Amino acid sequence: MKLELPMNRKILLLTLFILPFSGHLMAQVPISIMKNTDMNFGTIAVSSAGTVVLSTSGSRAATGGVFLPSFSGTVTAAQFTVSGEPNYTYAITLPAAFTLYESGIGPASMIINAFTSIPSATGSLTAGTETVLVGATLNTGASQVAGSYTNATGFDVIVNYN
Amino acid sequence: MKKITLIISMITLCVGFSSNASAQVTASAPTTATVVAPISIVKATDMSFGTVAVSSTLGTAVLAPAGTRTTTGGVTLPATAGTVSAASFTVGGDSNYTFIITLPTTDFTLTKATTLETMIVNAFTSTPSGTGTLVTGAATVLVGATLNVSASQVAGLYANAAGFPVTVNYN
Repeated sequence: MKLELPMNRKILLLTLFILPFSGHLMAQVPISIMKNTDMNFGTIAVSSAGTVVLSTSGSRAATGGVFLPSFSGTVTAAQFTVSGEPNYTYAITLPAAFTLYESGIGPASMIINAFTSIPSATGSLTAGTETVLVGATLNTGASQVAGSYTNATGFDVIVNYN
Repeated sequence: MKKITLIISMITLCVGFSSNASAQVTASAPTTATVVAPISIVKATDMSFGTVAVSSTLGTAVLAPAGTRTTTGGVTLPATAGTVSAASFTVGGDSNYTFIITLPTTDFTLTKATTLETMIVNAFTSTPSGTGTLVTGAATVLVGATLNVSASQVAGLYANAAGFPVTVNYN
C-alpha cells in the first residue's frame, strides 16, 4: 500500500508537466518567411543629392536633385510571404540601412534606409500565411555615377512569433 | 533514480521546444537601382534673323529651325542677308532615352541700343519638335521663331543678350 502512493504521485507529476507543454508543442507550426519579389528602384536621373522613396505599394517619389523619367524600368517593392500557425501574430524586423554598389562591386555606392513595411512591425497569420511588402528610401550623392547599382546579397527581413 | 532521469528528460524536452518556438527566421531581398547620366543642354549657335527691310506696313520674318527665312506683310528680305541662323543647342544625356523640349511660350523682346525701340519674337518652333531622342548620348535641337516688325520700324540693330530659355528634361 505504501509503495503505490509514490507511483501515483509520479504519474500526477508527469501529467502536470506534460499537459501544458504538449498542447503548446503539438499546435505550433514553425514560422517561415520566403522572398517572392526583389526590391527595384528602377531608373532615375540624378542632378544633385536627393532621395527616391519607394513605397510598399511600389510607387516612387523623388526629392532633391533626383528626377524620375518616364522610362522607369522595373519598379517593385520587395515582397515576402510569411507562413506559420494560423491566428498567431509575429514581429517584423527591418534593417536599418543597406548599401547598393555600382555593378555590384563599387566603388560608387548608394545607401538605402528608412525601410517601411505593410503590415508594419506586427503581422497576423489569420489564415496561416500573410504577404509582407517592404519599401525603403534610396539616397543619391550630389554627382552619382551613372550605372546599375545592385546588392545581390539582399537585405534581411526577420520575423518571429510574438 | 528513474524519477530523476524522467524529470531531466522532461526539462530537456521543454527547453528544446521553447527555444524552437522563439526561433526567428530571415529572408533576404536583392535590390537594384539604375542611375542614368543627368541631361544637359548647351547653346551652340545664337539665333539671328539677319537683315530685314521694313515698310509702312507691319509684317513678320519667320525663321525656320533649318535657318531659312520667309516673310509676311510689309517685311522684305534684302539681297544682303547678313548673318541668318536658327538657334542651335546640344543636348547630352543617357543614350537612347527621349527628352521633352520646352520652348518659350511668351514674347521675347529685342531692343535697339540707345533709343530703346523694341521688336517682339514669339511663336518659337524646334527640330526635333516636342520630344527628342538621345542617339549615342547626344542630340542637336534647332530653334526658330517669328520676328514681329511694326509699321515703319526704326532702323537699327535689335538684340537681347540675355537670350531666351530652352528647357529639356528626360521624358
